[in-house]
Amino acid sequence: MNKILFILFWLSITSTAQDFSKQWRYVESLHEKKLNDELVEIWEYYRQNPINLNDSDERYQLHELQLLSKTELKLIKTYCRSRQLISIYELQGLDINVESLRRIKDFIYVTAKNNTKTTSKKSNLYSGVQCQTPQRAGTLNKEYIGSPFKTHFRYRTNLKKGWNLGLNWEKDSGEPLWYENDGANNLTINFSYKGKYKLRKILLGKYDINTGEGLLFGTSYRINNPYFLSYKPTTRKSLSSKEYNYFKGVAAHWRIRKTDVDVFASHRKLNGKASIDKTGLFRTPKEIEKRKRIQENLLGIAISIKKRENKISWAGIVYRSDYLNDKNNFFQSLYLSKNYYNIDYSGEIALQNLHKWALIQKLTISISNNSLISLQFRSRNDSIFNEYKSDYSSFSNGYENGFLWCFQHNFNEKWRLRATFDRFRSNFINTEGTHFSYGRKIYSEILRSTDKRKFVLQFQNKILSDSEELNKFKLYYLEHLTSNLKFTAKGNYIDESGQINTSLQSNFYRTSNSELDKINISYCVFNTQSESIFWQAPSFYGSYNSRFLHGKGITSSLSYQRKLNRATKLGIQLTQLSYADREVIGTGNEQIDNNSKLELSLYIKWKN
Amino acid sequence: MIKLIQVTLVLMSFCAHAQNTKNLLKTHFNPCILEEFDTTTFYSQVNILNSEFGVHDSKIASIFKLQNRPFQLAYQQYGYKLFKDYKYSISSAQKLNSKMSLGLNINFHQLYISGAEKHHALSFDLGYSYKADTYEFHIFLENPLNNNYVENDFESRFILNSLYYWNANLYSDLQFEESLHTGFHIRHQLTYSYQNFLSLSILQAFHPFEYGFRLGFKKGSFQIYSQYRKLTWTNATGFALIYQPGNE
Repeated sequence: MNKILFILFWLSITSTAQDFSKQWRYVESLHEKKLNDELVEIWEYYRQNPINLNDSDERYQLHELQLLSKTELKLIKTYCRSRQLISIYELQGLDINVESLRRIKDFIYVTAKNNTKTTSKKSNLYSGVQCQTPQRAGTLNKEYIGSPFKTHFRYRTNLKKGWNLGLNWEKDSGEPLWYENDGANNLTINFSYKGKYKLRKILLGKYDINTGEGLLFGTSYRINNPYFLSYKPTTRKSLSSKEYNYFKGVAAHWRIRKTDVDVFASHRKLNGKASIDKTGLFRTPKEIEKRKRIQENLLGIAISIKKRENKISWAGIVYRSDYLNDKNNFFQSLYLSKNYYNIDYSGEIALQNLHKWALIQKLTISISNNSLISLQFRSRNDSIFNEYKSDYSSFSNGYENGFLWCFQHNFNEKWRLRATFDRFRSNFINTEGTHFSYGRKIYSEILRSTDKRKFVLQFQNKILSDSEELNKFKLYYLEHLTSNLKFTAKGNYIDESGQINTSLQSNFYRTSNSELDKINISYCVFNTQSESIFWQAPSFYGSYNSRFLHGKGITSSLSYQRKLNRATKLGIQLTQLSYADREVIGTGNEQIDNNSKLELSLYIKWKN
Repeated sequence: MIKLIQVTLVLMSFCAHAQNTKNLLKTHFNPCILEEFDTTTFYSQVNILNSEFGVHDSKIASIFKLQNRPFQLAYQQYGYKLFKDYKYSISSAQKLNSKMSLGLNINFHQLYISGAEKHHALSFDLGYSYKADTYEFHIFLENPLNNNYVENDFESRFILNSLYYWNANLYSDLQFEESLHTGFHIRHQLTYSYQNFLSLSILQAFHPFEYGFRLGFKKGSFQIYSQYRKLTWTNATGFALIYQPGNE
């Protein structure tokens, strides 16, 4: 009997270990537009390479998971800094919601200092395919040179002596897997090394660069939320399928006492001609003409000194690209962050060739563990390099000057209030086209969360000069109907000067008693006039069926995932989109000669 | 026409005293509620939208059990002398467990317009309900495949109801409704029952703002309701009668 109980317990642990639906729903309730391949790739990486809470170098990587609030992160860091943990379950003694700890449980572990976790060789493999019916005009007219299937293959393994290998190969619908005389389509091969001594990291292949707050370079995944701080490693390997916003080459990281040194070099060809093409779609001969046409080279060094929670860093980068000015540009970034009890300050100043500049300053004050207030100021030249910036705030990235302040208050364990106010202004005059020279946005959120249900009501108000006022209401509701059945409802209401845009969506998530089978059902009715509504299908590994919907219609999805054995899992998802206000969907090669379409996604995942 | 139908259906937001009849005459018929009926029930209702032209909406229905499964047969008619829209429905429900139920309506529609050809169509609706001690959820998918006579002439809606019982006599029903054709609506109904024979409901609709009230009375096996609603385009009155033999 005990043996059976042990097996059941072990099965439940292993079967939930590779499921990110908890994490997915958490981010969905905060920033559903930020759910994408890249975030799941980060979770996948840290599940395979968990964070050692007893290692001060690794602890700061908890930020990257985007699964904890700033207050929760601070509590964990402070607690871990003062002692050696024996078990991750010690965190339960902190004033942190149990749900938050459950979200990060799969990504953390503890061992004694300087001991690495004893792990056997770990590998995982993912293969997915997507198709739709009816076919697009480009496929029917044979304008697209590739098959109508979207395929995705990913493999990651731990090699010997700290080395890792990753491979990612993806092609979109209509694209070929291999371009004649032009190589493979979106293929990434990464080698990385993780060391314990002075040489901490070597990356070969695709990677991200983040300097300071990301005024110049911030290509890693980040939720641009003023309630998160943005500490990141300068370079981070990337195995996502993104075809823009990354670098390719070699990077290394040394740690000498309290000083971190990063050296990195990148050489690649961007897509586009006069400007960068960010669509990542190369299906017709005309589109293929833009593939890998703009040369880009980069060489940089970043030095940072960190002492407890205080950090100062400088980065110098030589950048040259055909699309910029075909000259060597020298970028510098100076970043400082300082913590003094309950006051956090961080700021970055960036320079381009010593005469163009950008800066951002942030000051966050916590009052007990229940409240915080943050002030943020940003300003820059309108002509400074702005291609790989991170998002400063979720409201006003296109504006050079801005002042944002926000506060958060936890009334008790259940209720939380957030409010953000952002004012922004351009510092140039555009006489040729429509130009909204200044504006403001207000964002507020009230949340009630218990073990059984979660309720979030958000309100946004946006006013731009010479433009219509925009008001957005969003409702999110989650209820655990039974121990293995969850229900969520989402409502959107956007009022743009009397033009109403709305949607109502519900999702059901059912897990079998053995936790081997999972089924999701989603149904959404939308009705828009002037603004698009963002729709996100329920969590389905490897498939990110999100889209902006405009017009009148219904979209629904059905997903089924099954764990075949300890190592193998497979899934199938059907997504139907029907419009009531049109005869065809899309235009040009994208056109579908019907008012509805059905998408099928399949995947198989294996790990050892 | 769709708006007219919808507004008419709004008028039908009746509610009964006994718990198992409270959802019978709402803006829509969620078949899950059939699971609550142990006794045979007959009900009818008439809503007068425009007395000058005789525009009205009426319904006659019967709920019964067959082989221990609840069914409803209903006939509904909307329109006036020269324009009549008929709906014949059969509904049933299945209890999933002590708290959850699923239901299905199958509808046959017939449209008569004087001097024009007749149209026929089929549609179906799905319902789901969850009941806890003090609150309930109801989900209703009306015509999810957007079937129609010609084009977009049937309502297709997604309705989410949440009921909260403040105490044994007072409850709120908040309804979120997304219509494929008319957009988003929120409605609220507050109902107070006095000693299980008298009830008063206050009805509100937001965007557009509408209001109304309803009075109900129970005597023996009969329940009688009368309602007034101020709509944006008319004032409407409605009556309903529910008969449950053996349920006194």
